[in-house]
Amino acid sequence: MNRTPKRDRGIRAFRFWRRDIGAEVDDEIAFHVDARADELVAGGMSRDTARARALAEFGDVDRARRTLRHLDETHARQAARRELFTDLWQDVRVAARSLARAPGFVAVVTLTLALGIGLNSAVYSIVDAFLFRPLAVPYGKELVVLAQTDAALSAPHEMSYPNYLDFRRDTAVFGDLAAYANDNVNLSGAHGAQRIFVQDVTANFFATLGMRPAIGRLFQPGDDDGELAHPYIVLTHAFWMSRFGGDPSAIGDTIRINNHPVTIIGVTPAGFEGTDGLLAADGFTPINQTWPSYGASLRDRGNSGFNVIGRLRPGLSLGAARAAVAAKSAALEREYPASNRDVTMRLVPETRARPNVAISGNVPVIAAAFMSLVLLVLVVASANVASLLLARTTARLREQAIRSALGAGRWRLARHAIIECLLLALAGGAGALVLANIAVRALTKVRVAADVPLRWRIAVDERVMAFTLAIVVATALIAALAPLLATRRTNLTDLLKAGGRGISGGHQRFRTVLVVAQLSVCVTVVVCAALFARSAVNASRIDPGFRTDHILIATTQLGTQGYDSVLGAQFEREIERRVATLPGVRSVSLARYTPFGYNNDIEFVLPEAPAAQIPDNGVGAFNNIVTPSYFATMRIPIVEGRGFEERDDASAPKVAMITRAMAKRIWPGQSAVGKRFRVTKDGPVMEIVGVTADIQYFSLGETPKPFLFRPYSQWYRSSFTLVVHTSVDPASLSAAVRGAVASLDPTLPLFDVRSFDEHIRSGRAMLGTRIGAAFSEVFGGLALLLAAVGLYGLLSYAVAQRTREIGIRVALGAHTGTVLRLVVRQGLIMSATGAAIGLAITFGVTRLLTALLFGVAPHDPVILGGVVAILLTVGVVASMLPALRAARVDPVTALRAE
Amino acid sequence: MADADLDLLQGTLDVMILKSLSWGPMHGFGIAKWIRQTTDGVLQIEDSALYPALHRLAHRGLVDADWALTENNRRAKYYTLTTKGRQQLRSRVQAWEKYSAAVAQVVRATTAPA
Repeated sequence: MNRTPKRDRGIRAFRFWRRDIGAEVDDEIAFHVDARADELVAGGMSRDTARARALAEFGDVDRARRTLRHLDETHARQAARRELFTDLWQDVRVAARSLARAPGFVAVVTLTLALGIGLNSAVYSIVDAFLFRPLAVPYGKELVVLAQTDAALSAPHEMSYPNYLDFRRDTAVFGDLAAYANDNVNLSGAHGAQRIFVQDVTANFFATLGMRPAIGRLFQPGDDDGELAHPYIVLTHAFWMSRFGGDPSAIGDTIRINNHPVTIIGVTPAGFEGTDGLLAADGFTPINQTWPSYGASLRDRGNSGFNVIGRLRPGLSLGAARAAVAAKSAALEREYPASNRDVTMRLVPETRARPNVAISGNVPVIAAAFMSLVLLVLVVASANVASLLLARTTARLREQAIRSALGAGRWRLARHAIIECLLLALAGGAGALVLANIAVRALTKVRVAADVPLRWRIAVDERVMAFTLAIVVATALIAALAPLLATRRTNLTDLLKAGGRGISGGHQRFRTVLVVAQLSVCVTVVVCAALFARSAVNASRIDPGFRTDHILIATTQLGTQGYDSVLGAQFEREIERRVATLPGVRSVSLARYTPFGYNNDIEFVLPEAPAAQIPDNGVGAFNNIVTPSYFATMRIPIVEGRGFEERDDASAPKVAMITRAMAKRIWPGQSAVGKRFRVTKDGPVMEIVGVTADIQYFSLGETPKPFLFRPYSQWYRSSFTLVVHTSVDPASLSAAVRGAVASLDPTLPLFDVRSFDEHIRSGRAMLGTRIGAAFSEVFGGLALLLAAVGLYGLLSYAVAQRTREIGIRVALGAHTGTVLRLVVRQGLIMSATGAAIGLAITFGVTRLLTALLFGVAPHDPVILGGVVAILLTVGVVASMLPALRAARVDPVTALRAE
Repeated sequence: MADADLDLLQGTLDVMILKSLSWGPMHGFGIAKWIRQTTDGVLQIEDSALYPALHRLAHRGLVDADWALTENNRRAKYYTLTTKGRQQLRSRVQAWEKYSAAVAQVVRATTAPA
């Protein structure tokens, strides 16, 4: 009866339990009772009496039995668990040690997985922001959006205020229901003038969301009563920080909104940016309380301009609420047939109403498409990793066979493989989070060329991490599965005898196809990336028909600030004069519209006497309203007649200028100067005084279309863009131009201040090209890397499998060069096949991109040739490592395996 | 019975069990018999309380348990003191002696509190 070593006790306890703890306990108690009875019998007692006495002395047998069983079972379970963890920990250590011996392999696998998983994490973080993550407010999860569909617009959109009020009163459906409208306003005060984005909200807005103020107070019932009676503003935390430096004494201060006094009453908690899906609010004002008021539109049941958000009455299901909303819609339609005909309200959970309830229906589809695409990339990455693992497993088959022969169970070997994959996938997952973070940070920096504060509530947070972990585990299992299945099919004993041959060839063929497919896709994506890159370079060389260098643009709106047409016109004349005197300014003009901007207008030209056939409703043309110096400032040549002059004022006959394209369209073969036309049937007649050269206006590289200019002096507009031709870097003059505007009116904010080059680069003109370039560059790089890893894994496997054959060749006198060529040739054949298939696909795909390309043909031979060269280089590089390994095969070692 | 009393009793029982095994391996019945005889029946320990104590000691690694045959050729579960159990016995006996000496001094005291 030797003491057993500590470790074995656990194992014995494990078996013990399996062998039925109950029987052991019963035996032990039975022995005790029998022994005591024997003792009593020996003392002269009868057997029956002795047995009864022994039982009585023992006490409560049943209870003791239960206690002992419970004790032993608990202990056995704990011991079994402890043993499992000890074994797992040992496996982890073994796996980590064996991975540490192959740092190159680990690096390639980790990088591949990091890219594959990182892409998924990044895309998921976007999907999460748009589809799943509730608003960062206490009632975020319960919020619903109420929206209207009608005959004019079948997509759900904003409601009218009276309709909103009727639904809000229906407390059987809604616990609380708030309305808001988005608004851009001019803010001025101690810190200068600025255009900001506010939400005009009902007084119950914050209560509906369940919010409390960070400081000060939020709106309370009554704050939206009457008209212009409660001029308050609540600031978002971010805006309070940026404009007031987080100064608590700003609460109670009066600022000016659209040049009318408004009191700051509070600040919302950090992280809240309003309820719009895309734009970050700077503040909140009670509806109809800041200038200009909503006036009659709040009482107009046909005026649908209000977003409605709320919470359902507690306990009410979405389905029941929808039925109630439908019934209420029908009742309103009966009651107000004039305004509510065909008007139906729809109830949508807030997370399904992003970024805007009108287009949110497509978001899940787009999200699913993107997720599928990136999951596909991950599957390819996993397949490549599986391929690498298979190569590694094959190289170690003998080791495995020996371990198996020494008694390591199939499960133990499998567990080893899975743990190895899990470790690799975890490393990949960690790398993925780093990459996703970089990607998301890059994404959140994307700016649209307009001074709208874009809100990207995108972050790699704990939700994304949980998603990443799930992907990591799934990837590890997928990647571990392939090598496992391969070894399962192989009889390890036979393998030991055969010395390492005998993996079936079917997998090999499938993986060859997979790698060639990757190489083909690679060609297509990389060609696209190259085309976009060339386009971006070419776009800056396109001549749009006017000067884009040394031009500064800056926009403002006089209307909201309270200017009428007389004061406005005065202001416009004066600002042009003042900016012209600034040092570094060559010339300055005003224009209503900016080429390649988001704000455009089309007029239909109705000539008095057309020379060509034109449609009844006239010739549609983009147009601009400009001051006389516009053509000199923008360097647009006047090819016939004259430009606008001072004498073309409000009292003079109306004049216009057109481009050559317009002249050719309406008066081909004639001089357009002196011709007369209208833009509305009963509008004033205008006389053409000059013809300019053609310009590109809507999209860069377009064929010039008919275009019309009219003078500011005859067509007052309360919005204008200053166009400044500078002799210095235009961006360096933005402060001086702001100063000139402030010297005239310190309450007037200037926005969209940027150089024209910047306007083109980051604006609508290049948006498609830039997005295309960004995507194809990222995916192109990724595709190249994945294809390289795939090729490398496949060839490594092939070399591992052919070690004996190579050994024999070397033994028979093959040179190192011969062996190298053997492997590299295989890589090159696959690369060439991939390139050929890829080129065929490319011809089909790139034709679709023509609209986004500038000055480069979709089948540009230099680009195609270059990409093929890159692919072949990748093929050689990826083959080189396995080839060198093959060349280093020692024939003695390889053949001793026999 | 309050928890403190139970702990004291439990601890006392553990010490007695460990002590009984200090002469060599023994089955549960033997341990019970030894305690009864040694204390002249003063300590009435129910057999049904002895076994849980024994199993707990086994789970704590203070004793080993294994099935073996008795002199009468019957299968019985024998308990053996482990190294850890021996150390535990030594320290518990020292503590017990200190404790009982202190209590004895108090109950035999002849001077009144100052």
